[in-house]
Formats: sequence, structure tokens, C-alpha cells
Amino acid sequence: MRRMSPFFIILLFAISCKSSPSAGIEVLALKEMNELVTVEYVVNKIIRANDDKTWYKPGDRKILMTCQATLKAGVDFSLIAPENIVVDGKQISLVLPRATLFSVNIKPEDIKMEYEEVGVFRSGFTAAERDVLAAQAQRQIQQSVDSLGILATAETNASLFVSNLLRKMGYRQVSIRFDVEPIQKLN
Amino acid sequence: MSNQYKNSINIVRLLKRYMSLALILGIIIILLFVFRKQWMSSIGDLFKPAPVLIDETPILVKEINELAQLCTISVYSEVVADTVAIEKKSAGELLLPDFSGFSGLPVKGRRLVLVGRGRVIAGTDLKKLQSSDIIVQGDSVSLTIPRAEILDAIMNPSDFDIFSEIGKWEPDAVTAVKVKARTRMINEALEQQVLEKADARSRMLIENFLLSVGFRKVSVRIV
Repeated sequence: MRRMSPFFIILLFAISCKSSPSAGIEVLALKEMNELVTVEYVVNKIIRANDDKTWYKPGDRKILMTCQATLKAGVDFSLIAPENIVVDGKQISLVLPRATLFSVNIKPEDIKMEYEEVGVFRSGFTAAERDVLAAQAQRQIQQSVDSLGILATAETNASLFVSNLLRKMGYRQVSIRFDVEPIQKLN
Repeated sequence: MSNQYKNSINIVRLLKRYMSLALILGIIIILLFVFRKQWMSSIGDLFKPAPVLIDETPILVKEINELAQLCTISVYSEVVADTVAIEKKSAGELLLPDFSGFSGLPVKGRRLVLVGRGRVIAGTDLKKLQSSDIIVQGDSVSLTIPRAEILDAIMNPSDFDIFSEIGKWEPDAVTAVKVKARTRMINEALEQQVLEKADARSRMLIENFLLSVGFRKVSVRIV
């Protein structure tokens, strides 16, 4: 048995050795922007989940939460090139970039726990587990941008704001249109 | 002589048996080392809890607000926030072993430590512009814009990592710690003079825009 012990040590080493994932270094910094936010949608969503899929955990647990998210969209002015602006006396023509979704914001205080049902053999949802569920809701909201029509509203509002501003500055005829290519962007 | 010969034969046999055993073990170890990733992951998968997925529920639009916010600076940040609750141990709890770091003390504790990542966006609210703020004379324009402000502080559920959660924490208590983290992020951004930087950048961007739309003399004031 004493002779065998080095083999067991090597065996344990072989089993326990796990290749560590390469850690990416995130650079957090200050960023300059030039974005005109023209619309804000405040939306509500119910977060409903049932944890009964793990075979070795007896009983189930359910959770019901509500959340409110704020979505902001607008136009990135840094994408306007000099050739997108044509001035002819009191007439001006502008080509604006397509509207994009700038942010989805779910404030911690806007997530409310409504109901939780936990089986006898189970423990309640932890804060980390609740965060994972809320993060899924965040993704679902983000993916629903097209169906909400936020980008169309953002373009209408951007067009209105810019043309009103230019009229106040003395332009009599203002023509605004949007670039053909939509840009998908979310920081 | 014959006894000595027999003994030596026995020793050789014994050695051969151990050698073959060692060889088999060696092969097993090599196989385990080569295929450990596949085997370990399949065993791990068997006991991995199934992910809890939320149902697809409808999204209800509560409000639509028209804005005109010129976002000029965003500051990315990572902060730590924590809270500790200390309570007196009951008579029964005093007899039980305590692994929460309060062992040997007449009190028990709960602790929550989280890391939050997010961004603070600063800029100018152009919705506050009045007609009187724009003065045009020929090819000159003078514009008075409001001071920059924090337009958004984004710290979403996916931006939080629970570093340590000892004891049971009610959702409201967790929310309070998260709000603390967000406030800390805003304060850090303010310490970096984010508003002053946003003011300077808003002025520069508006001046450039006014020059590009045909004005020769441009003046932007911040009040």
C-alpha cells in the first residue's frame, strides 16, 4: 500500500488538474460620445420562473418578480459626415444616421419580488439567483426593440428636434432624411 | 541451495506481478490524464443543476417620453458595496458550531458583498433650450445652453456579481446595497469632474455643428 501511494497522488493530480480559463482584462475608462437621445420608453415585464428541472433535487420552487426598464434610443451625431450637410442660402438639407438603441436600464429598486413558493426540501432563491433571472429579463427586453417601435419613434423625434432647432436659427426650408443603412449598436 | 533458488524464483514472480500492476496503473493514469477533460465534464454535467429559465412574458409599454439629451461623456466604473447584520445568538445557537466567522462570540452575523459594474452618462439636456436662448444675426449665432448633468447611471442586473452572501438576505436589503453601489459609482464619476468635461465637450460639439450648418461666427454659453 505504501508503494502504491505515489500512484494515487498522481491519479488525484491527474483528475483534479483543470485548465484555467484565460482571464480577459477589462479596461474601464472614460469615453467621449456624441449621441442625441430622442426617446425614452418605460416598459414593464413580469419575470416568472419555475425551478423543477434538476433531477436530483426533490420538490420545486417558483418565483414571480416584476421589473421596470427604461430604454433610450437616438441618433449618433459622430456618424454625420460633412457631405451629409448641404446649405444653400436659407435652405438646408441633412442626412442623419439611422437611430439606434443606446441603453437599457433596469434600476435595482425597480425589480420587485412579488411571490416565492419553495418546496420543503429546497431553499429559497438567493440574491445571485434572482440576479440571473433578472438578467434574462434584461436580454428579452433588449431583443424586443424592433417590436416596440422605439427606433422609428427615435428617428421621428430626432427629425423634429433638429428641424425645429434649424428653423429657430433662421433656415426657412429644412430637409431631413435618414441614411439607408441601419446601425446596430448598444454600449 | 535449492531453497535459496526457490526463494529467488518467488521474488522474481512477485516483482513481475507488481510490475504488471504498476504498468496497468500507469496506463490508467495516462488515459485519465489524456481524457480527463471529457470524462470529468461528462460526470460534472450529470450533477450540474439545470439552468432556471424565465418564461417569455409580454412587455408592456408604460410611458413614452420625448427627449433631447446630448450625451457627451460616459464613465465606466466598477465598485464594491457591502452590508453586515449582527444579531445576538439564542441559547441553542450558542451550543451549535458556528462557521460564519463569528465562532466563539455571543453574536451571529450575516454578510453581503457585491461587485457592480456600470456606466455614468453625462451631457446636456437640450429640451431645456428656450427660443430666447438662440440669437441669430446674419452669419453669427449665439446659443445659451444649460449646464451638463448626469443623464443616466446604468447598473443592470447582469452587471452585478454577488461576491459573498452569508445568511438569508431579503430582496429589499439586497436592493439597498445595490443602490449604494450605484450611488458610489455616480460619486466616483463626479470626482473625475465628469460634469465639467461634459460641459466642455457639449460646447465643442455644438460649436462644430453650428459651423457645419453654415454659420461663420459661433458663440456657445453655458449657464
